[in-house]
Amino acid sequence: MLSLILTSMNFSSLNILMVSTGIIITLVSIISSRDYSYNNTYLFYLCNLIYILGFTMIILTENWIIFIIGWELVTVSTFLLLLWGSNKIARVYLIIQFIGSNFLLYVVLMIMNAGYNTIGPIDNFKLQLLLIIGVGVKSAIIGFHFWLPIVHSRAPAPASAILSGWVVKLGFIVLLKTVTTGNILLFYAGIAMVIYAGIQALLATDYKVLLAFSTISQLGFIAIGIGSGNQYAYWGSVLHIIVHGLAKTSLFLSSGYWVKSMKSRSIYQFKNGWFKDKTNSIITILGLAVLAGFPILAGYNSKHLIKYAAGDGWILKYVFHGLSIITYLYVLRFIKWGIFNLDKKGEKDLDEDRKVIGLNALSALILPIILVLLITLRSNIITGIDYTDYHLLHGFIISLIYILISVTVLKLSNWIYIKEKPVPSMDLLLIRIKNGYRWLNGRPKIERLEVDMENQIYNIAINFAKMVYNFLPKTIQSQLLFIPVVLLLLLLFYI
Amino acid sequence: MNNILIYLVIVPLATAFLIPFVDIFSNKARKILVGFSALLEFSIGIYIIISNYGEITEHTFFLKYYLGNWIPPIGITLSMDMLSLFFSTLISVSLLFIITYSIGFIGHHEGKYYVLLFLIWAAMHGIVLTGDIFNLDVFLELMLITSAPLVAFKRNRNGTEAAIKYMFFGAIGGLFIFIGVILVYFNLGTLNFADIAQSFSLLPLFSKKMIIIFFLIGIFIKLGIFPFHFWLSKAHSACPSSISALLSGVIVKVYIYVFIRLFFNVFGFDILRETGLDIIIIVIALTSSILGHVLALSENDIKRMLAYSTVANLGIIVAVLTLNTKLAILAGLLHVMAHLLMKVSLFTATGYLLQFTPSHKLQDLKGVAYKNIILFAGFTLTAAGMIGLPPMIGFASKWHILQAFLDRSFHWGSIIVILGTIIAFFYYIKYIIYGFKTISIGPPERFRLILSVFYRERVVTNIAILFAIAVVVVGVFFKLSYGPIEGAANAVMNPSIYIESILGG
Repeated sequence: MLSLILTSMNFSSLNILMVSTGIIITLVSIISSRDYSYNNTYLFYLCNLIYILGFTMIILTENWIIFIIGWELVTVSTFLLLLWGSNKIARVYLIIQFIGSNFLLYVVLMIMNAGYNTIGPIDNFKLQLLLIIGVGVKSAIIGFHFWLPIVHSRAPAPASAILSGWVVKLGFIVLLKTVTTGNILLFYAGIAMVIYAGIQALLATDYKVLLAFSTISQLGFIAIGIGSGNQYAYWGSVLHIIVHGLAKTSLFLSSGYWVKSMKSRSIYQFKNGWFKDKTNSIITILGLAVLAGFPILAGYNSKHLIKYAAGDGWILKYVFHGLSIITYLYVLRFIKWGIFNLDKKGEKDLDEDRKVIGLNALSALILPIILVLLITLRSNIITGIDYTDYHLLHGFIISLIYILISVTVLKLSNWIYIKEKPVPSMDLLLIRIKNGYRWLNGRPKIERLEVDMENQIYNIAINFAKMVYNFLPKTIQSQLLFIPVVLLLLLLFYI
Repeated sequence: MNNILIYLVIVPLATAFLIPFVDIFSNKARKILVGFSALLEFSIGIYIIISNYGEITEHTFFLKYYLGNWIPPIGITLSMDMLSLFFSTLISVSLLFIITYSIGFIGHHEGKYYVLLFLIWAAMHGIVLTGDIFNLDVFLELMLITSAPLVAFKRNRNGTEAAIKYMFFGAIGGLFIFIGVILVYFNLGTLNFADIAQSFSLLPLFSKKMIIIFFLIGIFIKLGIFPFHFWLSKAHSACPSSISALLSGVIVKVYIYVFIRLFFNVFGFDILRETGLDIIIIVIALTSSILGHVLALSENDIKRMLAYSTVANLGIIVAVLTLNTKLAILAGLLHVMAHLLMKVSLFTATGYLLQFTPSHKLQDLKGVAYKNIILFAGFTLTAAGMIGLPPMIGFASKWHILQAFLDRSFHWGSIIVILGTIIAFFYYIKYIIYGFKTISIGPPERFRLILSVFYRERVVTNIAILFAIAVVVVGVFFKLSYGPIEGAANAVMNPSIYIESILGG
């Protein structure tokens, strides 16, 4: 087994880069987790170690078996990490991921059966599509994304940093290796993801929900890059995986500190954020700027590559500008509500409980951002493109135009102040489905469920199973009757 | 000629008859005898492997012994090829540990218990070794008769009912096999496996079909394949957990051996394929599998749940074997080993845990994990193996099974396997969640004091943990088991080796 693992590994520079990014993200989240008084710390570290082992196997291996084993290790270890938060969310996560990994297993076997014995480029469009659907549940490709905001927004901050920062990227790393020549459906799925999740993030009132939807939205950019099949867009995706991973880790970790200091997750309650916690504010703004793709930050480089290489024709060009504006919209809206929702009176009141951020938090938050800045300077190594090719001046002008448009739109719509929404959950999802069905039948809406979704599904399954059980005969006479019946049937039809 | 084979049957048989006599003198002597015989039988198996190691690695291993020096096809031949060796090793290893477990678990009527257990061991080895179809039937009946009292070992209403049901179904299954034996003898005039295999294809089609139907129904009843699964859940749950482990883990695997030996080596698989029976078997087995999973989901009783999961897994094994490619047989045999280890592990752990609960019901299992957290962790790991999570052995077998189904483009089969594991996930996690639930102290009458009756608690927990470790370790190093399993698959695929080795010497 060990020799199988070692011989199947491919230590290409891309793989090493991905693994090291993943390890940095994990370490950073471990550092941050020291600020949350967890019990059973050693078990927590062990789970993190298994998780590192799992994704290392996924990224490095060329063998499908090791790949699947790695996925399962990641699934189980991240489930265990979630157990330090809420049991219910962990269970929901495990159930969805287990179903997803079974489907992935089936797809992988189909691919192997078609003759692709190692992980490498797949030419068959149908198999590509199957693989995309296979990793879809894990990597929240649109249509299978429903669980991501639920789990990522309710998980404890270090766990959601790992999940949102790296676990969802693993599927795209596999797609990078297999879908090398592009897949038009992935391309359009990416556009849909950016638009749909961007609008959801724009309308979010909960900071962690906003971040979770922004993850889906940014994954959309990666999907566009891979789906286009263009060489430069492909490298843009590689860069975006790394950059977004680091930035989102920092943002999710900082969200934990925000929630701690504000004692609320609603962005409207983040009053005087700038006065309260300047370090955290700066880091959050930097992280969001990376997401939005502001020039001089690495996010600009990756988005620049994806934007200008992936699209053909003027329509697509405009679409891509629109996609960038969506990111700017939700980023600016949060900066307005979350950080610069200032109150002159509040400045004086806050003098005593001004937040001094701890060393753990500081290192956990700053490290990824520094790395992002470093990558900005050296991104030519990854992409093989000279730094001057990024047209910084043009980028500045375009970004300013984006910001101008976004601010105008936000100003006109009163910075999108909407009624606070409940945090998404499985129950809410079911209520929405039920209300849709009731609306079709012209019946009144329901506000809440009598039994929560998990139990409801469970009850349905168990009731069905009990129905099957009751359908079968109970007395020994009738049970024995099956023997002559089967004998007669076989004699009649077989002989 | 090799005398060693006969000892594999004689040692447990002799021990079974010795135990009552030793029992008259002292209890301690009986315990020593039981331990000694179990070790002796185990070491005979080890001796066979060590002394023929070179041949085993080259897959040319074959031992035979003519009883009373009667040359086949007249006399009874005992023979051991790679397939028999594989099953014999599984039986010996698991029985050794189950007997060790029983030393700590069973305290009352020990004398009778061990007599029956050793008789079962003798019968199982007899079935695996014999080369005579009538002899096979005799050993099958011996196994049924000796295991039925063990099913009723708890001497309560439930156990007696289960045992009667077990006897009814088992006897009818045996009857079908016996009719099959008679048909074979009247058509061919021989009872020797190799001799039957040589001339079976010369029979008219009608006789061939008739014989196969009778054997098939007989074996399906004994295996508990749908629609003959009714006895299984009751019988496997009413008895003490050590016997449940034996029945659900080992004895059903012996029936799988009979299925493989008869349909692949003796009658030949071609007849099944020519007449289209293989598709019928696959469909029935897959139906049985999915139904087993659904019924396990409906169960509220942990032992019945495990028993239904056996029905499901047996369905998978039979379906995979019937695909009849080398990969499929390899997958089937791997799953035989995997399921044996996992089911014995689950039942031994359950046996320990149920000593602390008033009943087998799910609700009473609340907080049972905290009685022995390591053991329950083992239970959880094994359950994860049952749903095919790596690095447990269940993953390796699930992978190979899916591969075998897809290799023959049998997509429905693989979908049912995956659906089954998803259902299995739901029914296992239910018990694990309840196990980890903390108990709130309620009204006192609900929590009556339960006295656990272990005779040696450490032995019980250690064996249960040992099997859980085995599930993980064998899972990690499953490539090592490839060699013997491949040899066994070779023996299944090439019946001519078996025929020539018996008749040609």
